[in-house]
Amino acid sequence: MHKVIIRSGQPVYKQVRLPQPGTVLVRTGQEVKVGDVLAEAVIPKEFQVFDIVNQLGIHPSRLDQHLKRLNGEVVRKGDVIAQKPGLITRIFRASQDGRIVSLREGRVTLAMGEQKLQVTAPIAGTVVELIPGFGAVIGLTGSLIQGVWSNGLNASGSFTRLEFDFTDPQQRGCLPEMKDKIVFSEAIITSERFRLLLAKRPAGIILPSLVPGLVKEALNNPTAVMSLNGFGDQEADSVSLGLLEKMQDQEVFLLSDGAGQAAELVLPGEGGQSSALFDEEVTLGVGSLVRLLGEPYLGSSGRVVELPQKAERFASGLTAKVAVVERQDGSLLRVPVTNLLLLDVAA
Amino acid sequence: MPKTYLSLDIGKNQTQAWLFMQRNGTWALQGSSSVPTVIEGDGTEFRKNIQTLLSQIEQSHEVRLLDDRGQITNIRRLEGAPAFIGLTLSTGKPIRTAVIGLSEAYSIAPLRRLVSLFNCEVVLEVNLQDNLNATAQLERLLTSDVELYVIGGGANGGAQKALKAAIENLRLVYHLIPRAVRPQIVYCGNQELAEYAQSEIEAGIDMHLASNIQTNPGEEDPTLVWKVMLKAFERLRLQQIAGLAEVVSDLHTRVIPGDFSAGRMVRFLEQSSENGKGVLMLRVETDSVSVIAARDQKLTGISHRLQVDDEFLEKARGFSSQLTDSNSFATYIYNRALFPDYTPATLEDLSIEQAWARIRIREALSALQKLDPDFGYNPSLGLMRAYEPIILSGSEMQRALPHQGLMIALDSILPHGITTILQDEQQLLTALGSLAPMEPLLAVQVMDEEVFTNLATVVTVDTPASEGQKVLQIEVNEGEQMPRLYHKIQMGDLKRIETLANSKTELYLAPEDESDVGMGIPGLGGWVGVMDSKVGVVIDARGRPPHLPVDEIARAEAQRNWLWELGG
Repeated sequence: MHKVIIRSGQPVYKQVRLPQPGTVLVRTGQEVKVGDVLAEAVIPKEFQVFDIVNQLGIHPSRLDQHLKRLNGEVVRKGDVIAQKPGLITRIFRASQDGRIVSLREGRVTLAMGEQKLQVTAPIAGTVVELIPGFGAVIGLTGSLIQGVWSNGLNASGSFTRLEFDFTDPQQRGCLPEMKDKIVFSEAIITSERFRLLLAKRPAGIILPSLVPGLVKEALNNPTAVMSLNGFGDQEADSVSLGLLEKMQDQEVFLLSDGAGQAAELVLPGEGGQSSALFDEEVTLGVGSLVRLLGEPYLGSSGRVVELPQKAERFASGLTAKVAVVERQDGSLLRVPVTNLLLLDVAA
Repeated sequence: MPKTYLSLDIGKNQTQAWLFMQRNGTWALQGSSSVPTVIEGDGTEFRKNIQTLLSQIEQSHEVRLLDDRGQITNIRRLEGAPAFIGLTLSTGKPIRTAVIGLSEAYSIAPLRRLVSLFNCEVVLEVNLQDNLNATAQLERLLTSDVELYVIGGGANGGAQKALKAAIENLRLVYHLIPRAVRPQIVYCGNQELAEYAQSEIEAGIDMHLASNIQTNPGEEDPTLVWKVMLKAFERLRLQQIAGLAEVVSDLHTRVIPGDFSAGRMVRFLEQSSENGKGVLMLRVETDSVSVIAARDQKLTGISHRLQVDDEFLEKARGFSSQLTDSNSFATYIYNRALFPDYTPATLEDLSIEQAWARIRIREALSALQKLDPDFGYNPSLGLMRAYEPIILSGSEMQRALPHQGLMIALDSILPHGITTILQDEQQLLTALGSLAPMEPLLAVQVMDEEVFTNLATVVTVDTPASEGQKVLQIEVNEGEQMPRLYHKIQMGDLKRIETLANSKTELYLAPEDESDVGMGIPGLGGWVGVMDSKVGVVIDARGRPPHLPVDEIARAEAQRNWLWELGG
C-alpha cells in the first residue's frame, strides 16, 4: 500500500551515496552541515591511448629499446615516454601529469589528472549510519511532508506560500519576489504561469499537483519542482496545508529521490509534537486518513469507515477489495483499496 | 511422496510459485501461490518474502520446502522436497549493456538481438569500423556506466587488430573504474582471440567466453551464446538484489530472466508445431511489454518500456471507447505510472488503460521489428507474417475480460489470415521454461492438458473493397442436427460467431474474388474447423489499417460497437 508521511516531530532519514565505491569521510554520530562532503571517489580525469608502434614507426620487436618508462610509473607533463632517434627524432611526451596504466601490444595508455566525485549533505543532521565505501545516512527530526513526484533536484530556502491570483488582471506583472525561496502555490500552474514563476528565480516550486503538459518542462528546468499529489488538477489536503502554514518564512529543504521519483519537504527542528521513539508501522484500517487516487474524486481525502472482507465488482467489471471512505462532505464512497494513498499523519 | 518440481518467478509486483506433481507417470500443475514482491533493502525482507511464499505452498500441498522452524534451508537436506526448483526473475532494472563489434550487419545487429532476450538495455554501441581512435573509444566505454559488455565480431581466423585494441580498452575499463557491481564481459567473437581476451582482460569469473555468434559470414546463431549470457545475467542480479545469492544457494538453483524462460517454451511450441507458422507471445505488464517470437527455429524477443509522451498519448486516445479529453487521458496515464497497483474502477479508467495498452503493444512490436527485420510487423498494416498461436499473458491481460483482452490484441497486433489467440492466465510459460531443461516431459505433459485459455480464432479479411461492400460469406456447420447458419461479412465489419461448447465448429469461408482470408490467394476459401473458445470465431474485416472515423465521437462509438460485438 502506498503511503505518504505528513507529520511534525518526525524522524527524517536521508541516504546519500556515491554511484561508485570511494571513501566515506564522516563517522557515525558526526554532525554535518549542508554541503559537507560525506564521501568521495577519485578517478582519472581523462585517458590517452598512444600507439607507439604505428605512430612512431617502431618495429614491435624493438619496442623495449625505445620505451623510456614502465607500466605503473608516474609521469610529469612533458616527460618522454617513448623516443625513436633518427634524422628527425620522434618523441611521445606526456601531455599532462599522470600515470602509465597500460603498456601492451605497442600501445601506451596514460591516465591523466584526477577528478573527485563527491556527495554532499543536502540537509544538516547527524550521521546515523555509514554505507561502507559509498556514503552515509543523515538523520534529523523535523516537520515532514512527502510528495509523490519531483524533478530530481534538491533545494533549500525560506518557505513562502504564494497568495497570488493569476486570473486577476489588476495583479498582472505584480508577482511577488521569490528569489531563492521555496514557493508553494495552490493555483493551477499552466505553462505560462510556470514560466512567470521561474522568471522570479525561486529555489524550488511546490504544487499540489502538476498538469501533465508541464512534466517535460519541469524535468528540464534547473529549479527543483515537487508535486504533492501527482498529476492533474488536485487540491492539497488540509493536513498538508496546516503543516505548510507552520513552515511560512522558515528555512526548509526539498529533498528529491530522483527525477520522476518521490520527494520530501523538511523543516528541521521539533516543529510540533514529538514522535514516539519507535513508531508503529502505519497500516490501513478503520479511521485511517486516505487520499483518493482516481476520478471523479482525484486528490480528495477522507477517512476509512469500513473495510469489508469481500471483494466487490466495479463499474469497469473488475473486482477488488474495497474500503468505504467518508469524505469531508459526509458522502460515502466504496473505493478499491489499491486506489487509496494512506496519509500517515499525527493522530 | 510423489515427485515434485517447483518454479518461482520474482515479478515486478508479485512473486509467484507453481508446484508441479507427477502422479501415475503424468505431470500436472498441483497449485500455485503468490506474494507481493519485495526486492529493496538489505535482503532480510526478500528472504522472508520467499519464505512466506514457500510456506503457503507447503501448507496446502504434499511437499517439504522449509525446515522444522519454517526457515529456508539447504533444500537438498529436506526429505520430500522438490527434485528441482526453477527460479526466474521478471523484475529489476534493465541491464545497461554495451555491444562491441566489427560491423553493423555481421556483429552489432546480431548482438542486439542476442542481448534483448536478457532484459538488457543497449546504452552503448561500439562499431570498430567507425574508425574511432583508441582514446575516444576508451572515453566512451568509461563514461557509459555499463554493467554488461558483449564483444562479438570477426570471422574465426579473420582480422584481429581492431578487436585486440577494443579488448585492451576493456581491460582498462574493467580494472580502472571502481564499481558497486562488478561488470560482466561476454566474448563471442573471433575464436582465435578468445583466449587472448580472457588472459588480457583478467576478469576472472566476470569474463564469459562463448563460441562465435557469427557461424558463417551473414549467419548468426545466438543459441551458442545463451549459456554464458545466463551466467553473466545471474552474476549481475546476484550482486544487485540483496539476499538473492543466499536464496539461490539454499534452493540449489540458478536464476534466469523470466522472458528467456518463457522464450524456451515459445521456441519449443514453434519447433513442435506442424503448421509452418511462427509462435508469438505477448506479456503485457503495467510498465512493460515483452514480445517473444519464434519462427523458422529462430527465437527473438524484447522487453519494451514506453516513455509517456504527448504523441503516444494522443495516438492512444484514438483507441479509447469512452470520450476522454486529452488532459484527463494524460493525467490518468501519468498518475498510473506513480501508482502501478491502481485498479481501473470506472468505464473511463478502463477505457484509458486499455487504449494505452494498445499503444504500448504496438510500440513493442515495432521495436522487435526494428531489432529483427524478419519478424514481419508493420505499424499500420499489422503482423504480415503468420504466427499461430498468439499467446497473451501478463497482469494487464489478466485483468481484462476475455473479449477486452482479445480486442486489445487485435487492435495492436493487427493479424492477417487465420490464427488462434490463447491466454496464459497462470503465466505458465515462464514457470515451465525454468523447469524444461531438467524435466522436458513435465513441460510437454502440462501443456498437453490445455492449460491455456483459448480466447478466439481470428479470421482477417484482407481486401481492397470499399466500406459496406460484401467481402466474405460464411457457412457455419454446428453438426448434422443443427441448421446451417450463414453470415454475410461487409468491409468494415468485426463479427463474432459463437463456437460450440466442448466441440468443434466448422466454418466454410467463401471470400469474394479480391478478398484474402489467409488460404493462400485472394478469393480462395474452404472449410475451417475451430475449437471451442471463450469469445468464439472473430471475423475482422475492418481493413489494414482499420478504417476508423476521424470524428472523435464517432470513433469512440465505433470502438464501443466493436467491443459490444465481441462480448459487451
